[in-house]
Amino acid sequence: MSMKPEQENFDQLRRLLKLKRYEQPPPGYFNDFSTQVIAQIKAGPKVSHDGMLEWLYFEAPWLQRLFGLFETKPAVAWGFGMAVCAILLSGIVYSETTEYDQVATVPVLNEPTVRPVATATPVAFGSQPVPAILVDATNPVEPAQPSLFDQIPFAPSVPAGFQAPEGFQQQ
Amino acid sequence: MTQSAREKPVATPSSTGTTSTGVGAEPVEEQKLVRRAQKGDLASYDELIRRYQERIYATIYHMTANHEDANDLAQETFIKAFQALKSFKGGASFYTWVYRIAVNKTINFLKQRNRRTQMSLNDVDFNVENDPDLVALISDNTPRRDAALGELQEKLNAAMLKLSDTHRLAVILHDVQGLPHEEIARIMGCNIGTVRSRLFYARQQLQAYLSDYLK
Repeated sequence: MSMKPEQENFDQLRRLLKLKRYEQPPPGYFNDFSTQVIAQIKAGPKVSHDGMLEWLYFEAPWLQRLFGLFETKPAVAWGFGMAVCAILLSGIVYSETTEYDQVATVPVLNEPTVRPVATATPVAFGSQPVPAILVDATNPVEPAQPSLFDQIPFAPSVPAGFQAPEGFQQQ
Repeated sequence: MTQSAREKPVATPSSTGTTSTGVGAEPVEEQKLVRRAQKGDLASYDELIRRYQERIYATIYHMTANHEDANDLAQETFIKAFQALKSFKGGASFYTWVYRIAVNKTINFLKQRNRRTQMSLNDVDFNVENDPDLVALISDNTPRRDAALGELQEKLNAAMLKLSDTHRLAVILHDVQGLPHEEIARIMGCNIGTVRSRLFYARQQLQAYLSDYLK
């Protein structure tokens, strides 16, 4: 019973709202409305900065609801922000821990700890010492070949000289 | 007029007459037009625009209370719909789909725009004087019998603008446009209970704002 007067008032309100149905745009407005739209479509897409956001809103209504929830309940936005920060921080910490593990397990060639391995390997194939980095490489170290320069027969050196042609008089 | 209430909700009086929206909106016809438009047939899309332009414009206009804004947003809605037409799978009717675009565009626009204190109201159609409900409301039930229609229109729109966007939208779609709750739920992306709740709250608010005119 208590709802009846209210309902009646709502009926009056709904009747009043009918007034809005009579609000009309300027006369002839709709005559060329579609023509204008088609012309704009033919002219090409208009670049708008919020187009992507609008499209995202349209394609993902849950995103719209999420943002709406953030607007109405700041505590939810705060909690969401904290959760994102926690995930980021844990990701950073985890990645650093993983890097330490990799450093500990994988030998680095330039580290001085590798050098004893190089010295322990018999590398004295030739007269020249082999760098440690080559010893640690997977390529086999070939014995040192004699230098090609050693194979060139050295002729005795002749001093350079210049003889002036006959008839040439020095001034 | 053979359209069902879903296809042809109560809209502006002019849209129930011989205007372009009065063209038969049978689903089959609509599907054909949509398929052709998806292939790039602009003539078919032009026909689709003519069918729904008045209702889309009216909804946006009642939300923004400004003709220029409504004009821009209505045009952008149809342009956006054409650009996205290939993604339209036909799960909902084209009408509902375009409505969703219009509503999202309008709500985003209203979020960016500051609340207007000045309204640019469209003129009231002269047929309003023949509407028995409004005549009765003004001449019999309202204590302020000297209230002119213009003043009543201003008060009504001022009260509407005091509502939140979602509450105003619920009232516009149901009480002004005449859409059923189910359709509104699809357009607004919420369930029917939420629509009913928003509608009830919005009416309560309006009733409080317009108490002088509703006694």
